[in-house]
Amino acid sequence: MKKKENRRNKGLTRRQFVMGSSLAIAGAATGISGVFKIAKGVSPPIKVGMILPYTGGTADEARRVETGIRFAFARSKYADRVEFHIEDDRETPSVGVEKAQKLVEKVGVDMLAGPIHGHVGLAVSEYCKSKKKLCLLAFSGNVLIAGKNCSRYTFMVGHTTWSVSAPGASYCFEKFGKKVYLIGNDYSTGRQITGFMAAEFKRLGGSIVGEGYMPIGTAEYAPYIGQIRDLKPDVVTGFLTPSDCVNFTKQFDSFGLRKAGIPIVMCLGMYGQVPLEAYGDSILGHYDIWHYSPWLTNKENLEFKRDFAKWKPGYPFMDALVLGNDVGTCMIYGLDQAGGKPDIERMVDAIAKREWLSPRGKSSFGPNHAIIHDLYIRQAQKIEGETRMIPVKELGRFGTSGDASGPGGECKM
Amino acid sequence: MSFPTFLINLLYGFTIGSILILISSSLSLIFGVMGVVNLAHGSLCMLGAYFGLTLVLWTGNFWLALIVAPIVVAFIGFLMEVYTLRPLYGLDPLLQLFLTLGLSMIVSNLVLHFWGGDVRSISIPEALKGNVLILGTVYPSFRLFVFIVSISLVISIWFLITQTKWGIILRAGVHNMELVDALGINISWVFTLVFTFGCGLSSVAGVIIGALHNCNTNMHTDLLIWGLLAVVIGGLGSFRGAVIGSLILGVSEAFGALLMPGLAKFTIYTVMVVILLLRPEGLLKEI
Repeated sequence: MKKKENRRNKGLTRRQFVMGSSLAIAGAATGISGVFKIAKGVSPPIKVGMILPYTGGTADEARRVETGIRFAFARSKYADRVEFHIEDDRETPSVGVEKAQKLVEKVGVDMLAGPIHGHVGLAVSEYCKSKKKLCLLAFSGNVLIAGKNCSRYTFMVGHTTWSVSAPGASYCFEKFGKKVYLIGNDYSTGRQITGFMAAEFKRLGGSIVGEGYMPIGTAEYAPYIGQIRDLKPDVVTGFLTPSDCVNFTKQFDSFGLRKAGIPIVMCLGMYGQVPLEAYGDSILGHYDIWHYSPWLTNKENLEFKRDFAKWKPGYPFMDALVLGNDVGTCMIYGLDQAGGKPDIERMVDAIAKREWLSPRGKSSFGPNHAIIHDLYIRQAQKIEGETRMIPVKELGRFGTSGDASGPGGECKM
Repeated sequence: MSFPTFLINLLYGFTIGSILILISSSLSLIFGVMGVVNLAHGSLCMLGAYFGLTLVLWTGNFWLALIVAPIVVAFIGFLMEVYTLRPLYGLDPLLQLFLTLGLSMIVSNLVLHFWGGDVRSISIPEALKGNVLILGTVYPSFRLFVFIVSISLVISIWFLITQTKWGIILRAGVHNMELVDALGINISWVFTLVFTFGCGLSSVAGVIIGALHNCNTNMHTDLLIWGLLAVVIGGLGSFRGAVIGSLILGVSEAFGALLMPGLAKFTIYTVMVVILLLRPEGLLKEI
């Protein structure tokens, strides 16, 4: 017995030898194939981080932005190299920054696609500035990011709160009249937008007959509708978050104000951010100010819709897809100009000079890295039994100034 | 403030109050009889809204949704009570609190998963889409309908509580459940019945809110807070108190938003604090 044990302890058993050899061969094969891969010139992966609100009321918007970015990469030469790393910012700045830290410092992403909400976007942009990490914002339009909080490493690819509000004021003034009622959710975006509209109306010679500000998540608008009925403005304008916008518009109609001929003009394209069935007929005839419509007839938009429908048949087509796609194409352009490598400094320099024809129209960036885009007035119309936001007026191209007199203050990069 | 504006706000306050009654009265009954603060109440109300939305999309029939969605949610409530709450009776009440909180998170995330995050809306039936004239003021027909339905339900429940055998058991249970048990009445099934009924009643409110406002995945938080406020103001376990508390809250918000725009929430919490300082036990003690 002892002899047998000694023999076992001294050398490998046949089973151990076979197992060990197999592992060694497998390891060598991997190594060899790795050598082959390097010999072929296969590049390391490109890591793209996305920080978007996957919980809460804008979860579907987040998925659309993500899908747009994925679509852009799927059509590019980086399709096989790109890795997406996705985090949920839960609509909260501190969580957004925490997730940005995780993506940058632990996962090691090369670039970030940023949040939807303005206050979260600002926080993440400030973090990326400190880490010199490229950050592209599809939706987050906090005007401070185009002004005193600007960053060489942050690009506002979607819009700013100014660029999708104030330039539309002159249309409202000329078409509807000079008495305006302002309505807005009581937080940064709502206050910024109503402030811009108020300033523009006053500059044009109009008057603010009333204002209503309410917390996000307000369900009942009867008190404000009663005010509007009494004040009889020529137009109601401002910004409400998607759920509040639905509540307000439906109740505005149910109290007879739509039929009374008072138009609503929502800023930031709010009428296109939820499926229009949520409004029923209450939205018909109202307007919004936005830089895109699925019903634009330019070549790039028609091709985009056609190609996207082939890539994801049956996927509902909404505005956020285009914004995600623009973020993706900016990343791809930057990579192309940097020789296919995620060299951030070269990418930033390249993207800053980019001019392209987006499905939205001609796009480029200002010196403050805020987008310069075409702007439209859209009207809700029923066509072929479907409610659509149809562009009825093209207002021109607008950016957001980063001068000291600009809406976000002076941008010093 | 013009008279039409005053009247609109008063009516609006009563309408909101009447919807709140459906949420708060069921919450109050559940607490009064079972001693459970059901933090999943708002989520179940939200579930009612989304089931109602689906039924209307499938059938185009709002009335069917108003009847069937509460039955479905009541059944879910039944399963919740039997399989999750019942094992915790007699143990630390904090466990029930955490359980219902957890269930609330599960329900709200399931809603997000199955219905998505976009805001949706239940279509109002054609017959209720117009307006009526009340003392010369235009008022939406659907809001009047909501007020009438909610008050009718409240009166029916009040009749049930005061004029039937089950009502007697309920009222006795609020006072002393051990005695009820000692008299040979199966309190487990009393609890199940109350919880199931409460879930069904709150989801009637969900369907109505889904049509009056919208269905969104954040609605459960506000619904629960409003329900709890009304219960606290009215008196824990008091059905009548929940009714009065709900109407007070509805009217407070209506006029608070009108007189101090942006401070509407401040108004309702101020009302709550003042009432509790004057009557810490709430407005009423009796059911």
